[in-house]
Amino acid sequence: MNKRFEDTSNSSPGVADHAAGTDEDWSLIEIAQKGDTRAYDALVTRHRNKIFAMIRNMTHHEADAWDLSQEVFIKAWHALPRFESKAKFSTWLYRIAHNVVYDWNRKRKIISAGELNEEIFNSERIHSGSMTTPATSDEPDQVMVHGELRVKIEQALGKLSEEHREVVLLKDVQGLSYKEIADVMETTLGTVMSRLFYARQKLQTLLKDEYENR
Amino acid sequence: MKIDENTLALWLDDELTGELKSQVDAWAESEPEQLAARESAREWRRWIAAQTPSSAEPPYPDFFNSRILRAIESPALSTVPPARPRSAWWQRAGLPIAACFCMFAAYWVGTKTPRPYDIDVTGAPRAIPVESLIYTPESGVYAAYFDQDPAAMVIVLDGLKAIPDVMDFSEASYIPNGREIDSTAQQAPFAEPHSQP
Repeated sequence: MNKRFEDTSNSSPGVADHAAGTDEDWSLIEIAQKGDTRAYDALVTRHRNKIFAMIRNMTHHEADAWDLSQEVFIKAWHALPRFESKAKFSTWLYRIAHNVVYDWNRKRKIISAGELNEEIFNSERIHSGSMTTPATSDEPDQVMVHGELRVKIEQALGKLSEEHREVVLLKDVQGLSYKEIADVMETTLGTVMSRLFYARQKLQTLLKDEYENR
Repeated sequence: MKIDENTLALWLDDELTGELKSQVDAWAESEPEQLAARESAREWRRWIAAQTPSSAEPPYPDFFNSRILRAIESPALSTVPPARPRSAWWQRAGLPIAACFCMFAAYWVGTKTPRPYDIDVTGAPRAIPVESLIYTPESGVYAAYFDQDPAAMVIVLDGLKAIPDVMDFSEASYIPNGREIDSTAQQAPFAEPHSQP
């Protein structure tokens, strides 16, 4: 393996840390760093599926996820000269995606401030004796496309905080190691472990019936 | 072998590698509940991963790529603003100097501009003093006002009828009712009405 892919991070010995990209990624990165947009186009093609899926799982908006994924790759291009092989290229992209999604959410909250309180749609806050409640289920065609169970999992993920949702998606869906998640979320290994513990606990409570009847 | 909580949590999530993993694996052989917990954690991850896509092709993938290429090849279309070149030291120093010069020039121009009371008003229309007139609401009554003596001021009312002795002032006096009182006032601004003057 290329020497530049050796792990120079300060991870604990014996803890999984796959801080190395594939050789094919690295050869494309080297060419793209010299300004070759065709090599970068190939990198986009290799990684767009994971980034798009991750952002869509975070935002639950396909059109927004499409735009935000593009923003990730445009920002990555501008930061590419500073990219070092301390982490995998994909982990680095997840980190940019993390910042892009957080910025998007922050702006969205500022814009929607005072317009509509989304908490009113949280069914747990609605009084059991209320005459009417907001519809929370997906459209029938969406349920048909995604499958009922998947929609329920999406709804349960939507009830988690942004940090908890992201840590579950990165670990249990994208399969990143604790160390990689800590790099993506710019936090410590201990915080990742703590967030993952509480996020899974809440998710398992929310999906208790579905999981037991699987 | 003593396994701390962190190591156990990492082992349950299949995060350990190498020698440490072998050691914990060997310890766990005599810990059936830990083996069951690890299997349960694996089962949960498999179940969530099976229902939530980790990879999805974005709609219109060719257009997706071409838009990115267009943005990075023409920086004007990029959402990332280009870095502004750092201005030279003389540009940074020149700004406050220019501001001071402008302030001084404005002050100098102000001192040289003629003030309003210096303007010649010869020929301008002037106010003509008129004799004061005292208004009296009752017809046939004329008033004269004298104030030559600074110690006294005299008003003479000519034509005013004498007030009859039989007049009942209690009927003529004005007593405001509750609606006429200023609602913003803390207390009524008048005293209790007298029954008789």
